[in-house]
Formats: sequence, structure tokens, C-alpha cells
Amino acid sequence: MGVQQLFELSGRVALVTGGSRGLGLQMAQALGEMGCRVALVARKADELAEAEAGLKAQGIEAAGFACDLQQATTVVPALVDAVVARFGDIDILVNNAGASWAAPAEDYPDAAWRKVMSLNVDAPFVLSREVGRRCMIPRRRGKIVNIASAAGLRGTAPGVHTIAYNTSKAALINFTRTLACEWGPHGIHVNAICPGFFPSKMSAGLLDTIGDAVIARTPLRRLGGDEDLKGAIVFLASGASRHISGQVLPVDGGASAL
Amino acid sequence: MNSPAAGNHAGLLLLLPPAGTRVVVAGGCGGIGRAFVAAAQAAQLELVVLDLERSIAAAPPPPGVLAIACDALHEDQVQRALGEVGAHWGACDALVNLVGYTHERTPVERLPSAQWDDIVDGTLRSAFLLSREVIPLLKAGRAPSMVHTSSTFGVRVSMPGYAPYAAAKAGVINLVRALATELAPAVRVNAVAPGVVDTAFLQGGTGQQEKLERIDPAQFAASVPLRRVGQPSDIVGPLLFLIGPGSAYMTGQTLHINGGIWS
Repeated sequence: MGVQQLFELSGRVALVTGGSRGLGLQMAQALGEMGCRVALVARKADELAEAEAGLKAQGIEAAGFACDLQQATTVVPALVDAVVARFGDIDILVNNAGASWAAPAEDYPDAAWRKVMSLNVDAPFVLSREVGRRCMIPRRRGKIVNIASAAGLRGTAPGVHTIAYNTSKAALINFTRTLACEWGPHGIHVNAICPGFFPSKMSAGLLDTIGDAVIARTPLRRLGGDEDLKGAIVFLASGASRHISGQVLPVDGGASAL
Repeated sequence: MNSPAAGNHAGLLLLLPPAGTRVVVAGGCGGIGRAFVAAAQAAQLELVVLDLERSIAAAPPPPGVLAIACDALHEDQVQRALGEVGAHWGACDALVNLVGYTHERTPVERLPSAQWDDIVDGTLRSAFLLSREVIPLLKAGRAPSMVHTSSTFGVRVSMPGYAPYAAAKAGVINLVRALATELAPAVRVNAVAPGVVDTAFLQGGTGQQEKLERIDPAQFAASVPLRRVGQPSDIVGPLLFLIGPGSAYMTGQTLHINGGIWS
């Protein structure tokens, strides 16, 4: 197999949740640059339209699908219908949409806990189940990449109060391993990426207060940037990772190695 | 290429080491080494292979690849080999270290200490020696990185009789973290950790004369989520990814390539 073919993704259909901005848009763009047709899923239609237009301007075939994955059980069947009708069977599912909420554990509101769990854990499960049984199991192939977080590998730094987020991302990591075991025999690969701190709308407030400390304890001495997830997502979506499943890839400047 | 876009090419440029990247491949004549060398040469990387003299004789690297005989058990040979690399290139951009081997399965209670030493030295001390000697060359290189080789055995010991190998491969994982911490941000250091790969290694390693008790690939495959043993070519993409710009924000990590058996 030639080197180009190892990373080849031309014509593959990728669905990226939380794809209208931040890390999701970065990964959608990377997959598009490698030839994928990209379905972006997000809640806000205006942000989706902007992301779709931006990708199309780069020659990438993309379409936005507005839906609220907080209501995954209700909305996912119609979402998958719409994506399959537009692009055909989904080859690559990137479960990226996520939410966080900061409050000390003793004061943490039930509603915030439920909201974080619902988007970060329930939605990847419901969407993987639907895409798996409709598009992947019948064709005996598929790539699922769950975007967990370095926060799923350990607790929090002093002054950080994100117990639901850390808990949900650890759950997503073991969801990844377990689904890899169950669906490996169907030829489906399931892996996770654990980004460290990347500036985004979600992390902005936190990075204002702890950004310098994060950089100081990151071996590569910087936060994640606009290109840093592109290699990992293309690698895990392509044949280059054809014998890798159930794995968790930290992309965090080495912070989790300390 | 008839694929659309700007796309493909731009994407690959972000992912793969650029043409002309200078890579030392230690253990480059083994099964995984040969697959990597062929792919890296096709990607227009510059290569030097280090391996045992008998391994080079048995499986000579392709034309255009400099082969240097080196037994990584011996400090002086590692120093001399990396000295030759320095004389050849003046610097180097990546080390891919595939050196490692084991012997016949032996339970600890019957394990001679010489056998322990040989396996641990050949698998872990060799990684230390190669790292120490290549660091100055990498520091003078472009976007430098190292990739060492651990194993599923480094995290999960699924068969008795491999204590020194399992201990050494676990050591590689933490050596990589230590090197990553020491060398950041200048040099990135990561590892690949293959599971059972269908090479001569199943009989001890390309350079080894001893024959191991054979693992039956078909029987083993039934326990792997992806239902097959690894092939040398499975390790090529991960190695290229880890020495390339696509992993620029990764260091200190071990990437397991085993069809999902350690999950």
C-alpha cells in the first residue's frame, strides 16, 4: 500500500458533531482537505451556515444539519436519515459535540450535571448506535472517533470545578474501549482523541484564569492550535490506523505524560 | 491522481514528514523495519538503517539507504554508528527505533540472570543508548522526533514466560515519558506498541537464531476485536504519523496497534 493510499479519504462521508466551530470545525476541515464529504451537525443554524460556506469556499463538499443533540433519542433517527439521503452511508462518525459547566461539587446543580452527561455521553451513544446499525455494521466497516479530553484521564487542577465534564469524558473513554470490543468483529474501529487545552469558546473563561499555568505544565510549552487535531483525526479516520481500535490518543502537548 | 482538490495534497503535507526528512531506522532490517523503509523511501525520506551485521546481510536495505552494522547491546557500537550518521548528514530529524527481541518462554523461577540481562539490555538499555547518542543530532535537526517501540506486553501480560520482555517494554513506555519531559519542547518522543505481528519476530526476531514456541496466528486472532493478527504494514502509518507534522502537539505518548486487544 502506497503512502498516499494509507491516508486516502476521497469520497468518504464524515459526520462531525459540534462541527460548526472550534475543534469540530478544525477536524471537519481536515477531513474535507483529504477528500471527505462532510456533514456538520450543530444546534445553531446561522453558525452552521457560516461553517458550511467556509468549507465550500475551500472546495470541500459540506452540508450543515441543525439539530439539538441534547435531545439525541428524539432527533438522531431523522438526522441520520437526512445525512444518508444527502451523502449516502456514513463512513466516519466524529462524536465531538460537548458541553461543560463549572461549579464546586457541593453546589453542582442537578440540571447542569444532566446537561453535561446528556451531550457528552448519551449523544455519542445514541448516534453511534444509529450510525452503526444503519451504515457501518451492514457494510462491515466504519470509523468512530470520540473526542474525549485530557480531563477524562485525571482530576482537576486547583481552582477548576468541572466534575461533570471530567466524569463524562472518562465515561466516553471507556465507552470507546467497550464499543471497540463489541464492534471490532464487524470491522468497525472505535478510538478516542483526548485534546488538552485548546482555546475555544468553551474553554475561554477557564483559560483566562489558568492559561499561564497550563502552558507551564505542558512539555511542548503552548496551548493547542488551529492545526493540531488535523493529523490525529485524519490518522484515525484513514487506513493508516487500520489495526488500531479501542485506543485513546492524547493530543495535549505531552501534559498527560507528566 | 484524479482526486479533486487542492485538498488531498494540502492535507498530506500537514500530515506526513516532508521529503528529505533524515530518519535513522534502528532495527531496519526486521519485518516492520523493511515495511517502514519501503514506505518511507516512497515518501522520499532520507534513510540510514542500523542493524546487526548478519541481519543486514540477510535482508539488505534497498539502494539509496545507507546501512550501518551495529549491535545495540554494545555502547561503543552505538556510539560509532551514530557518529557515522553525524558524519553522513551532520544532523538527523527522526529516530525510529525498532530494536528488541525475546527468547524462548521461560518462567521466572527458572530464568538465568544472563537471559534476563540480554533481553532487558536488548530491548530497554538499547533504547537508552540509541536515544542518548542521537539527541545531539536531533537537536540540530528539523522538527525532530523519536519513536521507540513498546508492545502490548508493556501494559498487559497475557502469556506466562515473558517476564524480562514485558518488564523491558513497560520500561520503554516510561522511558519515552521521561525523554519527552527532558527534551521538550525541542524534540518530541513517542512510542508505538504493536500487539502480535506476523513476522519472523514470532520466532524470536529477524536477527535471532533461536526459535520461539510458535503463537498460532489463527487461534490468536479469535481473541482480537478486529479478528486478525497485525501485519508489518499496519505499523507503517503510525510510524509516519508520529514522526510527521500531524502529531506536532503529541509527545510522551504510546500508541497501541493491536486490533483492540488491550481494551
